[in-house]
Parts: sequence; C-alpha cells; structure tokens
Amino acid sequence: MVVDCHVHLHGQGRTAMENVDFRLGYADRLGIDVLIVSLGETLKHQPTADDIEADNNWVRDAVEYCPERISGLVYASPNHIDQTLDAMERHIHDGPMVGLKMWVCRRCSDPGYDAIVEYAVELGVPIQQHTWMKSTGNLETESTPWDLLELARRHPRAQFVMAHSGGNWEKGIRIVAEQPNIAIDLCGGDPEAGQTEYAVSYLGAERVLFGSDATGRSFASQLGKVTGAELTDAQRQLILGGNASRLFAPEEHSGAE
Amino acid sequence: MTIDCNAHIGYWPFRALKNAQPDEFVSLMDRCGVAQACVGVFQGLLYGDVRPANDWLAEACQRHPDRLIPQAIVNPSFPGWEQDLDEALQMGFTGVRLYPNYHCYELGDACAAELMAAAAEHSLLVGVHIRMYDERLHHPRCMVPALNVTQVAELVDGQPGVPVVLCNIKTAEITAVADTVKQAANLYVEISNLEGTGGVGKLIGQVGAGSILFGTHAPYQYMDAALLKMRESEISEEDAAAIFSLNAQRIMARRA
Repeated sequence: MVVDCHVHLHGQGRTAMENVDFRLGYADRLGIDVLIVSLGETLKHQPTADDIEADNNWVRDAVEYCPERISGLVYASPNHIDQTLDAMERHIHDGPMVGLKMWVCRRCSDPGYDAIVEYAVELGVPIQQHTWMKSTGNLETESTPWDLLELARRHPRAQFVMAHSGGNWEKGIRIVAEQPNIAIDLCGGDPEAGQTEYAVSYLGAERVLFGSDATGRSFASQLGKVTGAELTDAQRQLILGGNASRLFAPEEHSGAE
Repeated sequence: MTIDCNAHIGYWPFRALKNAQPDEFVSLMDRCGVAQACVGVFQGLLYGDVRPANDWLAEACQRHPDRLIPQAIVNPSFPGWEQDLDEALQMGFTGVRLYPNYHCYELGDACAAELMAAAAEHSLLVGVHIRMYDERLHHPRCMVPALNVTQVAELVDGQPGVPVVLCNIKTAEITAVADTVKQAANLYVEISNLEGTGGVGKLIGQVGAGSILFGTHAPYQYMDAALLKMRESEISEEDAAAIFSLNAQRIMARRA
C-alpha cells in the first residue's frame, strides 16, 4: 500500500469533498492508495480560533467522505490551546483523525506547545511538524530542525514526523539523526537525487516516509524521490507506506517510549 | 522514444552527485528508458573561461554519440566568447546552454542578442536556464537569484528561427510567460521543475503540447520524477509523443 503522508486540500473545489475527488483522480494514476491530509480550505500561517475549528471540520469532512482513502490530521496551534485541545478531543480521541499538524504559527521549540504534545502522547498519535532552513530566510515563526530536536528531546515519548526533511535535507537529516522519536517525510522540495538514499543511510528506512505536499507539489515529482532511489524492495515498501501505516495507526504506538 | 532535453554531466560544485559521469549517466538512462539526452556540463557554471568545460564535455560524450547530445556552455558576456563558440562548433556541438544568472547578464542585454544572432547563423538550439536549483537551498555565500523570465520575449522576438528552451522554469514562471510561449513558434518549456497536481496536463492547456519538451534535470534530480509527471496527468497519446520526443526531434532535424 502506498500512503502519501503529507497532502493539503485547498484550491481545487468549493468543498473538501471536491478537493478529495480532484486529488484521488491523480493519485490513482500513480498508484497512491491513501492520502493523509491537513490544513483547510486556504492556508493560514496564523490561524484564529475560528480558523482552527473551520480547518479541522474541513479535513474531517474529507475523511468522512472517503474514509478508506483519506486520513486526517488536526491543525494545532499553541496560540489557541483550548480550541486545539478541544479539537484533539473531538476529532482524535472520539475519532476519526490520526494525528496532529503543526505548521508555522510559532517555532515548535516554544514551551507553549507542551500541553499539545503531552495530549498527543496520551492519545498515542504522531505529530507532523513543518520544518525548513532557507538560505533566503525563514519566517520569524517558522521552525527549523533544531527547534524540533529541542521539542523532541523534551518529549521523548512523543512521535514526530519532520516535514520536508528540514528543507535543507542534508543538514536537517543530520540534525535529527540521533533523536529516535523523529521520523522525516521527503516532501516539499524539488526531487533532488540522493535525498532518499541519504535519509536512509542516517536514519534507517524505518524513519523515512513518502509525502508529496500536494497540491502545491506534484504527486509525481515527489513519488519519483522514492521510485528513483537506489533502495532495496523492503526499504522502498517501508518508505512508500509501511512506515506511515505504522506511525499513523494510533493503537500501534499508544504509550510508546 | 524518450528524449531528455535538460540534463548535465560533470562535476557539481555543491554536493556529491551520483550518475554524473558519462558511463553511469547512460546506465541511468537505460534504467529509465531514456533513449537520448541533451547534456550540458556542470563545472562550466562557475568557470570564467568556459572552454575547458566544453572540451571535457565533448570528450565525455564521444563514448556515447548515439545517446548523449552535448550542448556547449557559452557566456556571451565574457571577452572572446565568439572564439569559444567557434571552437564548440568545430567540435560538433549543435546547441548551447546559457546561464545568464550565473554569468551576470540579462536576456535583454546586447550580448544576449549577439549570441542569438550567432545561433541563427549556425542553426543552434539555445537552452536558457532560469535557475540551477532551489534558491532556498543555495550555499549562503553563493546565492544566485533566478533569471527574470519575463525578458524572454526580447530574446526570441528578433530571431524567430532559433529554438529557445526555457530550462528549470517553475510553474508560476511558466504562467507569467505562457502567452509569449504560446505565440512564439520558437519558444519551448521543459518540465523538470514543473510542479502542482496534474502539472503537465495543465501546462498543455496553457501553452499547447507543441511547445513542451520532456526534461528531467538529471542527474541533479531523480529522472523518475519527470517520467512520473507524464503519467500523473491524463495526456493523449499524440500529446505524450510530442512531449517525449517528437518536438525535440523536429527542432533537431531542422539543422539537417
């Protein structure tokens, strides 16, 4: 099974369901079975409490529309703790969503995230954290792999997925290599040859996940990072879906060390 | 048949790349089902005098004359560039690659027009690189902004007989010049940096399949990525054939 662990649902329809139909048409042609989706109808760097509510409902609509193909992440913000914890209760504890999405509203090393992460540990779900290190300069509130490393060290029982391999993947992968509760996804950058092999060499295939960052990115350009990489069949299967199936299945890592 | 219109071989300065030497690059082509590739040379990018890079490329491609189509690096802002071009012609190059952002000139500059005139005289294909890689990942002491693509009309207008390929052009940049590409019979885009879900299908709608070339930017990028883009969109067999090879063959055949 091929699982794309990093998909967004904006810009291709009036409803979440229309966005799902649009994406699945393309995913089908590439053999991608499941999309793990997050964020809302539009992308908001600094979501309000109402935005959190609306975006999570948008994702939940998508999951309920096509539960066999779509899994959802709750958009979490330390700027709106009560609304975030409430959303986690309603959408994860009570089902059907399978993890958290933390984006760019505040750097994730900030202790303001602690209550959210502690509840994620209690629920037994992973956290997908956006990271980038741009030569051209990050957003002021955008996390780097160093931020995530700090957070992961503070919460060794939490499971993180470092999105975009840190952007600058050579640095990002090395920064988190010794932190076992951080996996990475491969998405969101150009399909630079060597990224996947490099990730496997430092992290092991068990900590590397395929993701596309569709719809901004092409499913194809990102899938090519895995199909075009020099890997064993077993490594490729883990990256394409085995790892995502394991990490985003709540019963598998509830209370994990 | 598949022709890759944007590849390089040689030595990339910022990261160790696999499959960048001629024999291993041809092996990569074999694995991916790519019959021919137009190849530039990485190391010329940061050279002042590019002639040694072209010498290297010509020799490297001699071992695979049916597979690798070398394209000379030319810097028309460098003193004596005409001699560099003459030497490249004598070595049998049939196309040139321009890297204006690395060589510090604009497409609207007089030197670019002079290069185009020479390309017309010698029936050369001209590849213009908008970038070589994501600006966000550049070495902090070697940051090179992307080329201003909107000046491309100035480049092609005066020389309608010279085919110009915009290489490593991103989706938003294509949108910015889509009307120009559609109107100019000699202007093409390749897909190596095209992004967005269903990007190739959308691009066909924007500029027409006749203006699109298959390009991978291998071995800097995974060759598979561009191949999968062609599968991601629902494309007619006719359009796919045009993009994979027929457009490139038509451009190259005009020299015969």
